[in-house]
Amino acid sequence: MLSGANMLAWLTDNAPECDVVVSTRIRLARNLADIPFPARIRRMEDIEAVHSRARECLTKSPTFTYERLSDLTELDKRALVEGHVISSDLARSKYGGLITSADQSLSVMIMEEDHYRLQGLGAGMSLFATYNLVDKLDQMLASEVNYAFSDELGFLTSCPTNVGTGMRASLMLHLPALSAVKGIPRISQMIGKMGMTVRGAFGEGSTAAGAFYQISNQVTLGVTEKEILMHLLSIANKVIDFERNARKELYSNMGMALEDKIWRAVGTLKYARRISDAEAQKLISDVAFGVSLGIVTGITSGQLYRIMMNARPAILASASGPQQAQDRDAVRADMLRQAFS
Amino acid sequence: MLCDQCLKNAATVHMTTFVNGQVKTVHLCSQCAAKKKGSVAIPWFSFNDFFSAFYDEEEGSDVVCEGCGTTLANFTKEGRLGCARCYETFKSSLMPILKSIHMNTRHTGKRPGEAVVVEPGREAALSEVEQRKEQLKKKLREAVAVENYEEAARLRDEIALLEKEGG
Repeated sequence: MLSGANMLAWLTDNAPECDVVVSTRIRLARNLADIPFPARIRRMEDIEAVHSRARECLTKSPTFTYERLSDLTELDKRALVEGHVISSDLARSKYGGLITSADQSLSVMIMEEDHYRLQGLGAGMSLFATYNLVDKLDQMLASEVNYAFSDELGFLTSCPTNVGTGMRASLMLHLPALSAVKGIPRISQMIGKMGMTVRGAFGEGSTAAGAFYQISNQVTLGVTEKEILMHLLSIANKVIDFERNARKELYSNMGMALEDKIWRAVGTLKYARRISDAEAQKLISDVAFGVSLGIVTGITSGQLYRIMMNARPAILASASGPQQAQDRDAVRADMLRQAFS
Repeated sequence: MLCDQCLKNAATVHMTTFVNGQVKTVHLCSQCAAKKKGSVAIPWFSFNDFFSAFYDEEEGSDVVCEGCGTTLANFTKEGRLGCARCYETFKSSLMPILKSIHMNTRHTGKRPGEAVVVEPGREAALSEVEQRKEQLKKKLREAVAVENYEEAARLRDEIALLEKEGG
């Protein structure tokens, strides 16, 4: 069930604002009232209780399956990290668990930094719809387990940065034009002042491969869930406007030079024999830029985002099988050639 | 334990830094810590350093949470609470930290089991409202520029109405 078949089915075509917004993610941090938080948990029976209470409650619904992280292969775990289903911390954890819906759009990480991290993923700008799903999951769990909660401080979390709503809402944005005009530092600064953060969605360090960025809320206490969503929405809408204007501006200034760059990306994806992960992201980013300007037709941004995710190293390797792992860049180029032919 | 810096006074400040993927703890006396603070370049923001910055002295660091055995020193060093009861045990130390992180110390969100109602699909409607607001603001600036105050007042009221509806 962890094979790539169903994975990413949630990343649909024609999602709202999909020319700029790749996906929406909402996470809720929750803990049990009567058991120490994961960093302080000592007794095996406590760890078992954290697992079993969520498992017993949620797997009553046939939608959800439960897995122990220790039962997964390294490759499975890495693919889940790349698909943003689990964190790399959970992938490393000895006592972690995972509950997922069939398409992995809803999940619960067990024994990460908090006992439970509930997560919802949605295509494009879908803050409200995704929140509604996660909130239902939260209600399901709350009907059977006793959360650590205080009237004054809300949901109690391992790290004080998450206390209150325990909620982190984030949007993955594709900002090729703002990156090209070196506008990201200014946007980050502006967003930072409004209690949100921006960081590269892929790759480590400052350079985001393919101009994909994640923006999310920082403050979780003293604001309602709805306020967090509304605030993120209004800031994201501003960034989307900036990006769309920058795209038009860039096209009117560069004209043919931009078209050339985009068609070269298409050409490479169609015919190259070896493509690295970072190059694939860059090329697909260029093509997605071309689609939004109407230069490239016959493919949607949703399709492009799915292809990009499927080109990630571990997701690619779990789909293509271990026998082909020797030359992953060649396998990736094969997959991309098929996708773009 | 002696101060790592001057090797004379007793170390009362324990700073954990995370530099280039390496966790490093230095033990300093309060004087050396005060000197160091101004000069420390933090390569990326670490909440652990941030929390320990609140406590120069080990005042009350032997308070132990009965729920999980976490001490205040553990918390300031690791930046993590150990259990739900820690929030009561370390309340007086926590509140200023919460205030500085969230600008707030009181939960206003949902309670366990409560449903929050947000209407999906409102995103699109809202972005239209946002766009309309931007247009009106532009018109308002133009009206003020040509000193058409009657029109400006009307536009201002319309923007206020939109802001009220937008929630």
